[in-house]
Amino acid sequence: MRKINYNLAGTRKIDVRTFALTLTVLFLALVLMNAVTIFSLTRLNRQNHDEKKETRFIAQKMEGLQQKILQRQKEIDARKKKWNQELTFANSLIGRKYFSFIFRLNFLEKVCGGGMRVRQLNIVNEPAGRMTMTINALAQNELLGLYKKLLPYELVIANENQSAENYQAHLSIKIKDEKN
Amino acid sequence: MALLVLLGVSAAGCLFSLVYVSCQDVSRQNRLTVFQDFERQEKEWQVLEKEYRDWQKLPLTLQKFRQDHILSMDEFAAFRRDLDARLAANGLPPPRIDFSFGKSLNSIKKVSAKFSLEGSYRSLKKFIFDMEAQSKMYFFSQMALSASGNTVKGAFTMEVYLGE
Repeated sequence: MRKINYNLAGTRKIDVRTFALTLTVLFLALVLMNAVTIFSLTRLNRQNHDEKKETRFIAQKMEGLQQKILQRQKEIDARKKKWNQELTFANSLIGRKYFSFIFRLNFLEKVCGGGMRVRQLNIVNEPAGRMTMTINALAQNELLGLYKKLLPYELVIANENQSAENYQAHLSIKIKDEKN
Repeated sequence: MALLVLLGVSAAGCLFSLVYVSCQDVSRQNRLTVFQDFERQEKEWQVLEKEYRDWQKLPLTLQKFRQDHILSMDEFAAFRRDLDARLAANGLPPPRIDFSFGKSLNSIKKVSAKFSLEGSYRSLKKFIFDMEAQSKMYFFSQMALSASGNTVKGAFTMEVYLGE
């Protein structure tokens, strides 16, 4: 049986120009891709080298700095040990010097109304010290008004006595240590 | 055919290089962490240095505090004269004043002065104001006021700090 070969080309000859063009494009693509590869890897290599160098330098500096920090901390601890007691004492004196009795008397004058009288007052110069006092009021509503004003100052009412003439309350408050 | 194979290998190499560069970017983040740690350590060092300088200055500051505020024996004598003068100026009868000398702490001796006064509220308050206004290291440590008719009775305790 005879084999039939079909030749679909218009002509038997190869189109040289098209072939050359295709070959050139493929070659250029090959060159381009290799160039990209070489460029990327070279750049990366250079960066890695620089960064490793820098990282090593930083690591050395960090180690040195850590030593300095430890040394300085020791020196600070030694100074603290030597001076802390005196510093604390000086600070406590300054704190007590700034404690103002006048400020507290002014405060009481401001909050106590006309119908009230402070019979007794004790003030101690301590940061946690409370002012204790005995208040006489002519009317109950005045006393309650005073309680309301003193509530923000950790008011503690020890007792209250009511008589025909007046109302008497023993109470204590705590005012923040501040100087006006 | 060989050209096509080469092309395929080149494309794969190119892709691999791009992926590898991306991966290296991730590892670069780790190096950035090292830099951040270093910056943090430098800040810690600066804070520590500031604290150290403060501690270095402290002895001088404490010495100045002593000179400016703690009383010498001469100043203590002046304080006692001043106390009498202010009591007289506010019309308060000269009281009996009990002084007690405490132990020394950090070369500073505490002296307590206790006295009782009786007078108008205004004069007592003026006296307290006058004594509080002084810069030297003496202050009221305790006071108890009680109303008595038109006058106020007050029991006062003052603390005075003397340097040695």
